Amino acid sequence: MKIENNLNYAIISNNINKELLDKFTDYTIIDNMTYSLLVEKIYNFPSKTIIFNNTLYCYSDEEKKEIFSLLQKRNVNYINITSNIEDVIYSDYLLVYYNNQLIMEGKTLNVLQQEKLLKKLGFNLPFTLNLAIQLKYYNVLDELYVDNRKLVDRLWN
Amino acid sequence: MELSKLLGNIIGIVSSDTLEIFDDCLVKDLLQNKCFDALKMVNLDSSYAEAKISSLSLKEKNIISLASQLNNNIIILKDFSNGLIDKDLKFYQKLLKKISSYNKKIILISKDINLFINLVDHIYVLDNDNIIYETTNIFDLKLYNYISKPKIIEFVQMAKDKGIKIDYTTDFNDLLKAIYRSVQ
Repeated sequence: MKIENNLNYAIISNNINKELLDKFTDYTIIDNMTYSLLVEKIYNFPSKTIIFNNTLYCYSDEEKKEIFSLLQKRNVNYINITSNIEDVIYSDYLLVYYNNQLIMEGKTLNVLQQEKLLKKLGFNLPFTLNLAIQLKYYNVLDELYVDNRKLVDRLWN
Repeated sequence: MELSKLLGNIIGIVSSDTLEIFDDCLVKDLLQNKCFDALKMVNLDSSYAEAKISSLSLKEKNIISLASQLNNNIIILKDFSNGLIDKDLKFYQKLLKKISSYNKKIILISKDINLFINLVDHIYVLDNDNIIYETTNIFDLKLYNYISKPKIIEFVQMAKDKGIKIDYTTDFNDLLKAIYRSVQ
């Protein structure tokens, strides 16, 4: 996988196994880690790219945002390998793996708009985007949203 | 750790890991007699019987952990949803409900509220082994002082804060209809 230095990636997979993780042996892969330890790790992180292996599973939205913001400040790019579709909205570029096969990739929002294929594979869409897409079908919206606050403001302001 | 070398009938293991201590075991050693039935029940094919625990992904280890406890009266699963995608989550929620209908108690330890929605009947919040909050209602907003809100509840709460009359729901289609009615 070719990694651009100026992009943050998400990889969504139905099974994050050794075969998938072996694609990233040149990098430091962070597995299960508490929020405070991860913050400390990022402050002292020696490389330009960090890889998360479902690391953010237990984190709150606020903690995730803090981590991504800290990475940006430290000029560290990330590849977030996850099974949580809600987490992919923070990334610029999304790769979708199913049984270790790359099914599709591209700018995150473009890939997420392949709604039928994603759902057929068993992935859902991030909640807010899913809602916005359905409301667009009903002509209630004319653009897409990934943030609940912005969507609520757009609907009822 | 080799299972056959463990002495006693009731064995205490002080470890923060669960299946990791059995890394060298094969799945069939862990599941024993009813290995193939257990694998089938948890939706894994029979080839997993010969797999080493260490070769499994986190998701597969969690599922094997469930398979290994199917005969227990109390089933304890930690971070079970870690590694599951939406389709898996729905499957295992149905399976856990089915298992629970056989008069078994299931304890799910997790910070992932999505695992609990439409599944659990009681939620306890623990802090240093003490129960600091408990509820039977997923719409109990005090619960979310301790755990992230599900996106659907966060959305409804934001709408309610604006004075919009929408009921709390965990059903996506119900919410969609309510929004449609509200904005027309």
